[in-house]
Amino acid sequence: MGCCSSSGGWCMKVVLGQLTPGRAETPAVLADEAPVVTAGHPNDPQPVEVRGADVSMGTWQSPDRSSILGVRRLKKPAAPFTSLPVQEEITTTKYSNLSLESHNISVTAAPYTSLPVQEEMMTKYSNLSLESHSISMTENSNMPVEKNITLERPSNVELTCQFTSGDLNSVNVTWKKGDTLLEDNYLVNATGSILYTQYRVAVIDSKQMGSYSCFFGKKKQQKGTFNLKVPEVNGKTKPLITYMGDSVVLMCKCQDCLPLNWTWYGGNGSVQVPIGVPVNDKHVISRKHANETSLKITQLSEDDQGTYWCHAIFELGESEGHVELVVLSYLVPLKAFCAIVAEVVLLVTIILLFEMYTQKKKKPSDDGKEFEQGEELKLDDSNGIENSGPRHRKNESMGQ
Amino acid sequence: MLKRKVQPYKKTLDGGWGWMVIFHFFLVNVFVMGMTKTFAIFFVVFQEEFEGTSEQTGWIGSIMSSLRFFAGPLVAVICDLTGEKTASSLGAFLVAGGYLISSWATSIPFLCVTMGFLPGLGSAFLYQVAAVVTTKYFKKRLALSTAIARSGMGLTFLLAPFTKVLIDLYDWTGALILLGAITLHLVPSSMLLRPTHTKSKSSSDIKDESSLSPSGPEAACRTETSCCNEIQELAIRDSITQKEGQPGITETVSQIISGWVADQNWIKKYHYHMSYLILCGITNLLAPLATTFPLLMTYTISFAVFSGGYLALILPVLVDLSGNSTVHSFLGLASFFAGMAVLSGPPLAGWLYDYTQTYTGSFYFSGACYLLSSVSLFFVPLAERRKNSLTTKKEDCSQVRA
Repeated sequence: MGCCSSSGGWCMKVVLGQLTPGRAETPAVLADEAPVVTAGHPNDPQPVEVRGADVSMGTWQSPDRSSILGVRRLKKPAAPFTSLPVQEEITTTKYSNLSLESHNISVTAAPYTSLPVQEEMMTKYSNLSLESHSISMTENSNMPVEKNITLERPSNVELTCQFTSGDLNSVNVTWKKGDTLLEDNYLVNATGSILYTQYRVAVIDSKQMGSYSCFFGKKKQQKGTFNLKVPEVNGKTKPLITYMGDSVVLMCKCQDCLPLNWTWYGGNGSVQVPIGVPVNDKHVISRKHANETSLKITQLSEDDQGTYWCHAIFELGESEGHVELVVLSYLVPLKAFCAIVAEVVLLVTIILLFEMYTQKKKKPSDDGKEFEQGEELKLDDSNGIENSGPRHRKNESMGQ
Repeated sequence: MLKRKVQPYKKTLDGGWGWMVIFHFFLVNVFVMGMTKTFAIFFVVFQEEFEGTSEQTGWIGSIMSSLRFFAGPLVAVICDLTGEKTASSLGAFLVAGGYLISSWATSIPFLCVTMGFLPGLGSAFLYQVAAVVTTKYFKKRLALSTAIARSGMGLTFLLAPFTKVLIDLYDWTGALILLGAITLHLVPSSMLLRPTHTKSKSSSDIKDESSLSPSGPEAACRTETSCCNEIQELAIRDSITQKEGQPGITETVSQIISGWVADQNWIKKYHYHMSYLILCGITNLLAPLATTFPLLMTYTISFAVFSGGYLALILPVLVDLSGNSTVHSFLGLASFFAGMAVLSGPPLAGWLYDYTQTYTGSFYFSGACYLLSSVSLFFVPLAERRKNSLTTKKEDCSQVRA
């Protein structure tokens, strides 16, 4: 498919075609000063001729917006080369009622092995990691689809929405951040009955965080939402019970994250007051592991009761957790303890009195016919048959 | 106490004040078993508070449980010195005091003493004294009454949520103080243990003691192996099946039924005991075949039924084989053996699992232990025959004298 122009540089017949789903765009690569590029739809008898120098980076869409192509620049090769081996990858994919071919040409040159092919990324932040997330929806899904994405450090984020429908003709694709309509930075692509749209954003500070939504459809809009958030921080759900004069350690931690810094706030109600900032003895903030923070409070008093917030500071924003502290005085359990002990002493007294009463009752009628256990016993055997002396004494001593 | 001129050969009451004794035994079961169960909740709290390893913190519970059995002989000695009421109250004070002092704990070794050693010792006192006094008060209905008292273990499921509420309200220090105070209720309940003057046979009992020994140690050995199995079983069961209330209730009901049946005296009690042990053994040997949930439920239920059956009969059979006068010392001996089993059982089950990476080995081992423990009971007729021949000789002698 390559052709040579008269100037000796390389030119390519760029065929506008669909991008193979699932592969990153296979952009046509232009030599830096290729004189001519022909680009066009295969069915279009008049392909568009674009001068090489005019071809700018970015995305190209065919006039009817049916196909797109990404364009990147090659670093200019040092000398014309005419007989370099060309590797071609030919892929054939279906596009509605047309078949297209998209070609991927990569150039390797023996004399230029020392010249690495560098690509300029479309975005400025090539040193950032790339995160890809995708959600898929069908025409008839009633509930809006959401995906939560946790971001800790600045990165390039690629959000893909996939929409399945029988009829893709009347489908409008829009992206919104919050309520603001997004104009650019997104691609639309279609394969068979699946429509793909992809939005790329470089997230470098908290302004880019938020909710991004893709909308499909004219009449009945289907919505998919990506929520970009900073990692969550966990404090304690149950309140911490402590006593006056004790010291306590409040801890906050987040699962797999490394915050830049932690700060603590305390307060009653909704007012948050920073804690530990003028470094003092009462509040000591320490950080044993990177993903956790602890606040040690000594000499607790009733004033220390309330909610404490821990804030984890990331490049992309802040996240907070809270711990509730309750300070009791020792009297509280002591009262309950004394009540129970008093009840026990009462029971013991009652039993002692009962036993003394039954003993007194038996004292006058001490004729050997009654048993110690009281009146209600069943008398299984007859009384006083073998009432002989020596055995009697032995049994008395045994019975104690 | 008041010195009675009452005739000494009153037989056991099988009722009346005996039911108060059973009430006390019931409470003892509730608290002693409850201590072991609530310890699991405190385990987590202590581990977090003192930042100890699971092994270190687990020692506290192990000491508590094993000392309850090991201190058996000591209890027998102290009981002879001070009497039952005092011994039982002492036990209650030990438990309550242990809990109270634990609220000031500063480290895990501290807790090992105050929450392991002291309550363990105290519960040994409480349990053994209550069991012995029950045997003195009940003879014809001993199995049924023991079963009713042991059903206290079923109530312990209430203690766990109660402890959690206490910890939520007062933190573990306050919870320990309050639990100690609640355990003090065993002091007035110990005062219900009035001494009795039961002598099962004639005064020549003391001379019979020597001939009773063949059957006593057998009973003790059997108790040991069966306790070993019980603990192993619980260790295995808890780890593979979910602990539902069903097995507990089934066990309680089965205990009561088995107790009632045994008391009818259709056949000698140790025959029932033997058959329950054999059935338990067979159930365990067949346990590895239970792979689906319904089969596992069948195993759990049948094991609960059979183990409830034999648990209710441990004490009555021991009493049958040892005679009323020496129950204390034999119970102490049996407890000591059981203590060894309690201490070695769970680690052994764990080691078997680590070695074979499957629970079938542990099931086979426990099944074999059950069958082994029933073997010793086969020798009972032999021992009894020997004992009978000795007693008839002595009775002839005493009759001649009198």
